[in-house]
Amino acid sequence: MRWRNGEHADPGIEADLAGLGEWGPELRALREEPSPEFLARLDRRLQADFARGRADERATEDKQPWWRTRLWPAFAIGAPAAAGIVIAVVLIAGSGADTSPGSLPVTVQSAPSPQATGGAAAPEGDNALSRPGGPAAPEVQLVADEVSAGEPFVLSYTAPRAGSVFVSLSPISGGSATTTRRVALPAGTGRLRIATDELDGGRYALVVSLPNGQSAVRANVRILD
Amino acid sequence: MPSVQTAEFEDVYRESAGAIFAFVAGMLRDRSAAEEVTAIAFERGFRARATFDRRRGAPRAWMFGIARNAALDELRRRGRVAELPPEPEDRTSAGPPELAEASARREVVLRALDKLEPRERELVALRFDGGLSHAEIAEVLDITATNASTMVHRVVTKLRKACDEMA
Repeated sequence: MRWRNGEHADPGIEADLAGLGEWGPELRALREEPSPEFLARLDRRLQADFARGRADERATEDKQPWWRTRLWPAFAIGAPAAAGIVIAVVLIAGSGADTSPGSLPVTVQSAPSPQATGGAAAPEGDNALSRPGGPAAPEVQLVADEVSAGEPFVLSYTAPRAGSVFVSLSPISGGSATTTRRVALPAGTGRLRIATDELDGGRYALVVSLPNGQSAVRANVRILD
Repeated sequence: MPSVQTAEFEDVYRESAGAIFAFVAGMLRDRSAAEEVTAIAFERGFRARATFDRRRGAPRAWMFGIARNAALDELRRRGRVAELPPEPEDRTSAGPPELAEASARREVVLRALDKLEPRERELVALRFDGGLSHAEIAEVLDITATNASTMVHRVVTKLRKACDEMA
């Protein structure tokens, strides 16, 4: 039995007792303390109730669907995130294998998919069925085809499920030779950023292709000098 | 699921059983009755844990409220609401002169407490026997904390005056 006494005693009590002047200590002395025998009896009397309460609570938990007890905490955390807070997970897309030596500096910023966080599913676009790779393939769009030197090319994407794409940036006139990079995309929405810090100004062919070879994006882009 | 789970109720019980007993004993002036009422209060509290509303206060103050109702039930049952005789124990029993004087002074405080209104005695018991803060008293009595603070101040002043007059 672990009793904790006096933990909540309000320090302001002394001030109020002082208001009684010489009678304060007498009032304090009148306070009755429980005997250890009574506390032991009380404990024995209540233990049956407590044991029954714990058993009932366990039984109630067992009756709940498994997904409610196991997944609900995750939903409770994820739903507010989907509602307002975008948790940007920056993944250096190095998990996939490069198709050639060297590296195209691509990073992925992703937000959790609505389905994964318990929110409403994002509406499918009208062209979901007709887009390359079908409705399950990621949809990728180039945000701007011209960037200043040092600024990244940004592509937005929506991936119904986790997958990967291949990103290549090849010089058309001038510019630097680059490589093709496989980039893993988590399910959900996000952005791909292609850093241009190490690239020369000029025109490039930007291609984002799906694993089946179809192009999700094919555009001529330019890095301004 | 109950608003207070068994484990949390047990914590409240272990933290406040002594204070609740002291509070009830202060209300009843009868150790034996206080023991039974304290036990009844915890049994009631445990059965009613599903009705606890956290928006209305802390479990400890809620438990004190249940103990208060149980004590008031006991006082009504005995018809002792208006008059609270002191315990049979003889607090002025013979002994060393300083002890006898201390007992006499406590007797003065007891008689002064008897002069208080039932609500005022409740306040004294909640504050000085139960050790509740003004905010907790406010929760138990369903009044504002400011009001509780003012009432405690007034009853302390009244009790001191009564003690001074009886001394």
